[in-house]
Amino acid sequence: MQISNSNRYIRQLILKGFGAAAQEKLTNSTILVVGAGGLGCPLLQYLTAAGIGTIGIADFDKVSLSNLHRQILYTANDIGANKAEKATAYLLNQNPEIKINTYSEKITAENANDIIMNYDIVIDATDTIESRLVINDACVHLNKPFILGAIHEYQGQVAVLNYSHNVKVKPINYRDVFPDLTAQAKLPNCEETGVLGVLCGIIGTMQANEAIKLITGIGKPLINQLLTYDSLTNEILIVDLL
Amino acid sequence: MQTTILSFGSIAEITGKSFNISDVSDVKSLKIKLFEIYPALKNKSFLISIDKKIVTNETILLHSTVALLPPFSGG
Repeated sequence: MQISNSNRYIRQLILKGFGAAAQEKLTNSTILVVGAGGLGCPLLQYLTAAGIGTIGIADFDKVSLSNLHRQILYTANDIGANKAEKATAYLLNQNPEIKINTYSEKITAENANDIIMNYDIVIDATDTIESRLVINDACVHLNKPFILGAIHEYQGQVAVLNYSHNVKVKPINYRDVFPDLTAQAKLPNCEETGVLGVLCGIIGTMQANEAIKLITGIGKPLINQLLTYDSLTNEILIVDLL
Repeated sequence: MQTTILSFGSIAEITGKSFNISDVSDVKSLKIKLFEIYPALKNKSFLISIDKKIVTNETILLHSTVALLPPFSGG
């Protein structure tokens, strides 16, 4: 894929430490985003705008009225429509220069490997442990990095897991971090505990930022680290998982 | 010796966001004391970090920063 000749990316191209080489890496990269909900909406918008060459969007869910306060890709006209399809239509309008693959089916243990094998990085924007473990296991099997994002009330978590490129330590995955969790574990999600849309925006955008850092090689991504952010106090705790 | 513990997510709903615990010298004794004071924690999955590192049975020093970190699920 060719870098756009337009000046669409000029403001990031002129950034010190970024430039055309980093933009080319974004253009040649492929990212799968599983979940186009509270976390998926903001991170998809920024990945699209930044010029990720190919984005996969997986979500089997339909837009509902109670999604609209935080899932900012959708409008009242989209209620009842599949999220992956609606997100794709919006994002291709936002940046027609990228390619988007749409998966409107649920990612399961049966299809995860076939889908995930086509991508460099997987971003977890799901809201159940069951889905997260399916994605985690496929990423471990295929040796793909996995960017975790999750919310609990006013707090959020971000981590870069299963990342092995240019890292001398053993890649750590979600089952290593929480070994006693099973797919049947019932953890509260946003439907039960509530959430402010801005926190989804902050955590989803952090996930997008980690993806851009991994691809371009800038900065220090949260490899084998867990970041916890408290939106009420703005406190951030980063712990080493190894 | 008093140790200050920071709790996050669903763990904080049981313990509060910050609390003190006395006479714990390592992770094992911390867990025993936590489960004694907050029996509801026995059913919870959480990591224990000391000075920003996940640990299994490290010594807790006088000024250690201890945090209890459960998995979050919402998205």
